[in-house]
Amino acid sequence: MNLIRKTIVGLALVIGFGSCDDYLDKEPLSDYLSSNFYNNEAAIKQGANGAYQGLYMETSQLPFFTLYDMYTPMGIERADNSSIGVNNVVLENNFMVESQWANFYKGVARANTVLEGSAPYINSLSDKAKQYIAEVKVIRATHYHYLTSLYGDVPFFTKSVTAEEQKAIARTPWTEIVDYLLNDLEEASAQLPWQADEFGRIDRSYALGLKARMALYAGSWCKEGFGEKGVKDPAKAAVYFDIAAQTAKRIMAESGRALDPNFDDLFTRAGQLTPAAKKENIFALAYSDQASKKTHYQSFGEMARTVGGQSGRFPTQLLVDTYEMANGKRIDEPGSGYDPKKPFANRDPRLKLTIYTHQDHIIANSGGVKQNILMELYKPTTLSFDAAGNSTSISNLDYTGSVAQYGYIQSGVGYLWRKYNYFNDEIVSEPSYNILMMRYAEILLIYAEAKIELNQVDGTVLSAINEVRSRVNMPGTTSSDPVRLRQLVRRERKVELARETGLHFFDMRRWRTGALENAEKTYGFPLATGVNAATNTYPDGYTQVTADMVPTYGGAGSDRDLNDLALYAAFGSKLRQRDADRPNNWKDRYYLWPIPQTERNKAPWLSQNDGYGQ
Amino acid sequence: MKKMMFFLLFCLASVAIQAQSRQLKGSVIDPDGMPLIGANIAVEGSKEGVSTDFDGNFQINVPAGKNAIKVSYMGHKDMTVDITGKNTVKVQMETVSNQMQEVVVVGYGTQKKETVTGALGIVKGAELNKRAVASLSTALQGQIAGVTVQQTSGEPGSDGANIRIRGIGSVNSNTFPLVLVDGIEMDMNQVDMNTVESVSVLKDAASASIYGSRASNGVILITTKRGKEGKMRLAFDSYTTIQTPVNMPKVVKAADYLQSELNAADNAGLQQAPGVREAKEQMIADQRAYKPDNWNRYDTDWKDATIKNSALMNSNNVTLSGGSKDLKYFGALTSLHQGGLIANNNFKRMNVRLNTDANINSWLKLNNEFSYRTSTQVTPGISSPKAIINKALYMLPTLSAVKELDGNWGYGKNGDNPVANAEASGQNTMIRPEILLNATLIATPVKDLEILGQYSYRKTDARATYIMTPYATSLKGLFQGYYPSKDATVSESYTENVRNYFRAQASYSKKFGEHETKLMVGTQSENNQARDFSAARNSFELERYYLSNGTGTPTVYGGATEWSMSSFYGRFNYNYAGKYLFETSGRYDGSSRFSDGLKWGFFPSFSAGWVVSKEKFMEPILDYVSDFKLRASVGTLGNQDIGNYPYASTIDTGYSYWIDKQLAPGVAQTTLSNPNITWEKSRQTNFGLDATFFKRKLSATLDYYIKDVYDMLMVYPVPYYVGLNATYSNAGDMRNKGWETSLSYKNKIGEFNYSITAALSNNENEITRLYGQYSDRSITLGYPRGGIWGYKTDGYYVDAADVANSPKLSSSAKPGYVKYVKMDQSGSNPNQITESDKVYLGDPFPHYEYSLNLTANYKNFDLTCFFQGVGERKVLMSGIGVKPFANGSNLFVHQLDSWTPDHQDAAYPILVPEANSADNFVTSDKWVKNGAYLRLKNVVLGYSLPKSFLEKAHIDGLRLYVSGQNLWTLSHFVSGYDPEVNYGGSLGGEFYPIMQTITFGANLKF
Repeated sequence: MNLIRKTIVGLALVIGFGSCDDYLDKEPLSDYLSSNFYNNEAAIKQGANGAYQGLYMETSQLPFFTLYDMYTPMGIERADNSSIGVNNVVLENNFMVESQWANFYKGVARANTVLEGSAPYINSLSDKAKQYIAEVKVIRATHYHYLTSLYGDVPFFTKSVTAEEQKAIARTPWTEIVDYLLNDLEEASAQLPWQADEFGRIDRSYALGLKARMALYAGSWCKEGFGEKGVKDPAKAAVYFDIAAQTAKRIMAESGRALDPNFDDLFTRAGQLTPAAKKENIFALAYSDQASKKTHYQSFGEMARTVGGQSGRFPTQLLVDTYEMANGKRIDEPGSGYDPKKPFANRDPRLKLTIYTHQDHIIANSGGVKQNILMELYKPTTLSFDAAGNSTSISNLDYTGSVAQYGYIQSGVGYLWRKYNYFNDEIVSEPSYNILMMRYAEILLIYAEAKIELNQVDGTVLSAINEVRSRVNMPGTTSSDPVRLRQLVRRERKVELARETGLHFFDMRRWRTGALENAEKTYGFPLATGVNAATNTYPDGYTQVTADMVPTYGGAGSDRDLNDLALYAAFGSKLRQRDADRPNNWKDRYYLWPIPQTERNKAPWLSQNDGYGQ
Repeated sequence: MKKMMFFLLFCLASVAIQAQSRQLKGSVIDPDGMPLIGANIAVEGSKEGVSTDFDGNFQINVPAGKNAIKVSYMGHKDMTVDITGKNTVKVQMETVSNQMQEVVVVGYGTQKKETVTGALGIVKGAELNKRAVASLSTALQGQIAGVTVQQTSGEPGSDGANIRIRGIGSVNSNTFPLVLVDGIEMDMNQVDMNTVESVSVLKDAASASIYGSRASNGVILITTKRGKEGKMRLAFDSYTTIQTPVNMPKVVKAADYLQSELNAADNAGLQQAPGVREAKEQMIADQRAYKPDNWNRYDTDWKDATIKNSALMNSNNVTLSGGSKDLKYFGALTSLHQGGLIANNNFKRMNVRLNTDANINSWLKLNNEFSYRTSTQVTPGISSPKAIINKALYMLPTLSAVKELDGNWGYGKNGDNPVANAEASGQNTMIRPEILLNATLIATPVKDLEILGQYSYRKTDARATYIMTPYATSLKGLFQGYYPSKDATVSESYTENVRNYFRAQASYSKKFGEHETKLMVGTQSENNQARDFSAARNSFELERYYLSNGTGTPTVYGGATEWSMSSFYGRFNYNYAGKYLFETSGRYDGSSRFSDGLKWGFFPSFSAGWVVSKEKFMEPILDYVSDFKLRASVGTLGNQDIGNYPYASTIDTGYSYWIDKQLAPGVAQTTLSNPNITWEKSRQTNFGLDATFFKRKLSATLDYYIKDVYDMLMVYPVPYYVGLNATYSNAGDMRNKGWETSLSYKNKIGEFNYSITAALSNNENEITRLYGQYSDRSITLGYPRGGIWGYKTDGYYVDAADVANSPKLSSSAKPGYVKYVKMDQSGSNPNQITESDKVYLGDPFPHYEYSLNLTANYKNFDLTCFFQGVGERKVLMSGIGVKPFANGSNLFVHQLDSWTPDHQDAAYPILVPEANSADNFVTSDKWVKNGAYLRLKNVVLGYSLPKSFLEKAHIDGLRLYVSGQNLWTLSHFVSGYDPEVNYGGSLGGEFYPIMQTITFGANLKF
């Protein structure tokens, strides 16, 4: 019948569009589900790479690690008042304090997901997979190393954070964390070769180097006290110093690492590729000019405006005057030969390798143009040199013009960082040199310092220090006075490792020299008098310097003397000053950063560090 | 395969030829005596039916024994005419003045407006097309009470407005309504307005719940035009528009900038290095005395050099429609071209549509829609037009020339030069083709039973080609290198979205005496696949920008996602004598976006209406109150548009590292997972009233609603120490409460017809429950989502004593700085302003939105004036618009009105360098500006040439018109800025101005 036929057609239509049972089961296509993911070498390798990626810790394409020294009197940032830890900013609400806390934990979680995800399969995994797992452990330790060094006691997780832990957790005392990690690093290092087969991966040198560094820091914290209250534990300090010394000694004896005879090579893209540089370079954040590039803004943020940089971080006079004369004497010492009119002559060669000073040639590459510009503090014009050495007069953008107020003269104190910034094979805004996290020179100095603190001064201590000094032809020391040697090893850490991984920031904390270092304003180049724009008269300030303009270093044997902290107040009015930086109101609470306020809003169960209120 | 089948069926459709017994000739005319084309004539009691031709004439076979014909024409009353013994007949139709008789589009069907019990808003396509704007969403502005339309940008191809129906429906999920074009989800801004027959907006749960989980933010149903039986009709519509920015801030000249910079440094007490100050003063004097020589002195007007004064838009459309009884067609072809305000910035779109309706036989119909659209959006290679426009506004005049004397581009800000950005940095082209096939087979096996099957296939692609070419820069004759300092880069990407949609539906209606019932049930399923890949390469030494020509190492990416839904829906209507109305509908929805056991949700609704005017007791006053209907509804809706796999814990790619300079691919888990999440839901209650008065000259609609959104998918921040991003949980409730009213009056005085329509509505949003979870201030219990929280201010610190004795944010406070009010007295230090002193300063949503539409026509002239406005809105301004020198930017003229000891009631605080001014620009009521406005949104004046004149040329109609959009605005907003636009960007205050337009157009009909 017609009606039946029509109804069947209609029903067929309905049924034809009916759906299958699994129609709604859609799993991710190009993403991976986390369950059972880390059960093979390839996945673990990629997970490990992801953990490495978590080390970049970038803010504006710049790893945090290179900023720490700008929070000490050895370096400054462009804006006055922004220096962390000198009572100009509320640290609880500070972006860097918050951002680092958040990012180190992000790195921890990333490592933990790999370690936890691969744990059930550990017995069936290949040796290579186990090596990757060991690398991830070292990465996790790196994050916690910074967390404890910056914040003291922190929540500590070796597995993913559980739902309960998201609702309440106590801060683990830093000693427990450090002890756990020293052990963890030792275990992990057994799975790693002394020098990585693939350059750039974490190896035993770094695992143990980190162990030595952590132990050294822990030793100092026990000796000098940590945080506001500074409770000391000399017995424990000795234990940690011993671990530091022993571990560093193993690296010195077994790793096959050595200093690169060419200091400059450590900090340029091309130099870092030389075998000698690779030997000294224990671990670095990797950047690349190959394939899909990975570049950073370090040089862009430090170079002169005149060559296309956006100078925002500068060295200070205090650091400049920490460098000895080439003869090994401090500039204020009798017989040093220091001439305040020519303050950069005959100095420790590392001064000129680390810092650009007045009348230096700045080289750079700004977008396909190789620049060679005379650094000029006092004139609205300067010279630009072509490849043949011919010069043309150009506008000195760091002195005058719309961006000069952000330059190294008006914003900085007359200096620029040369370390890392002496290249013109790459464009200033996208260099691909690696950013060092640890190099062999530090291991030598860790060894020396730990032995000195243990009062075990012997020939190995002197030769470790002298090895670092002799690379740049600085005279060696023969002193066996632990006080003098401590001064020297501290000075070496400042001048050898200046601004690299921000080691001085942590040194200032563990040497407990915060109050001393921050007592003075930030000083710089000598001001010129008699400037007259109308008559185009621009005298050079250095020619007006008088013989009395040599800084003092406090009384002989004083803490100031032994920490090489120069004093300028006597002739400070004749120098470029940044008044607001360090108005002498250091508070001991700054030896630790506070737990960020935003974190405590979300996790009110976290206690606060001493001195920051509750 | 299924779609092929439908096309075969379509091809087989043929015209049935019937036997005949006698001929009747006739004509149909409208009340004014004009012929009606396409009116339907049917012989009562037979299957015979024809339509009138171009002249309104028809000829029909009348079977023996049949004596009546029924004549129907849209918008007119059906007429039954006795033809006993007649061979010719002339029928004059009566217009349906009662809009309640209108048939309106509702979910999966149509309904007489009379019997509608939900809250609906309806606009005719012709109303929208009048506006001569590129995007349908923009044309909807002010048309329907309760529908918030905010045009936030005038960028070609991106000038579509944000639409919200009755407030925001979610915090994290989609907040925009579901837009269906002939039942298929589409981007409303890409719809050709020439093809729109009507737009229905389903506002309440009762009308929208048939769309269940997709309908939480309301539903917009767009119906396209269809062919009518009769002669082929051809129409051309064409217009050209001149667009000029509505508002632009004025920037200061070099001398004023330099002077301000110096003043700022002085005000802040900054020391200047010796000689620097003298040099600056000399520079200012020179700037004032001499013209810029682009060597020693620059005074570059970046704004003028970058931004054009006007841009053109042009639209051309041709439509063709007609058909026989068994095959009707409607086809349209439209091309639109929209110019931009800067170089390399324009938009082109072409739309093609072909709708056909075929009767396969007496019980089987096939409706087909085919639509193809392609659009091309061009933007400069280096950055977005919006960013370039803003750079042009804030770039310092002193930096460089636009072009230096050596012919290279000026160095600008470290190489960034907005003119070169626009003109010489390459070009990005985004091509978006979309193809849609939609076929519906409708069977009527028995009377009153309709079964239909629908299949649709929609493919949307996006093909982007980005070519970024660095340009050479110079400064004072010295080559500065290329900007950006990279090689040329080419990247191409291709994204493909395919959606398959199936629907089957059956409906049955029956009238038993005064009881009228209709039951409809259906099932629908859809699946979506998205697939994309992209490749990029750099180094194009030979300047031929194709991937193969590059010499850099190429990079490639690609991936895919999919999701699906499956649904069952139904509706039951009942009414008694058209007086007591009842409707229930519901939908059972399954989504692949949730875990097993949580996939399905049920969304029912109930509504009822009482047509009071049909009651006996109303009869005495029917002359005054013509119609009066009360409505009430309650229902539940859902929302699930929250990523494709929100339940799953995934390991993501793209976390790579470089081992010895080589890329080592890496993966990472970055987000926590919560497999227990499920639908967001909302419960809506609506009370409404529809009435007409004075013989339907005046009509009124009033609605009141409460919309409670619950089980909202929220992301509460987890402590940082968790190390992974927080994920969703169903843990938040929000309420939207509001009312809408509209009044309309139509009348005629002789040949002068006029109408006035006014609408007013308001919605208040409130977060009602947060499950005790911590969140930031933008989600505060008891306040609207996105509420602005900040400090109260009390002018400026008058002098040093005032600074010393008043509460302050920090020690940087000085006379002339913004003075804050201590609101929370519980703190320890009464002079320290802290976080706890922040108070609620208002919400960013428009309130008291109103519109007024005046139309008139007299003889051949027609005029429409459309006003639209917002009664209350708070806009937080930040960044370059209000902050002098923000990020090294220039000043705007309005910022010169700054505090000095002698000018204490200035609009802006004391001028200091950006580094010193942070305290003045924290969020406070000082920068919360009044975004209320009244705008003459649109005026159209048209003239239709007399028919007598056109007839000789066989032209059916020719109308010429001129119209304008955004012609006049009344507001107290920041000078140079527009209250309607959204300001954002990394520096704050970025925008692409919306346009004032003047349009000249013509409609030609054959």
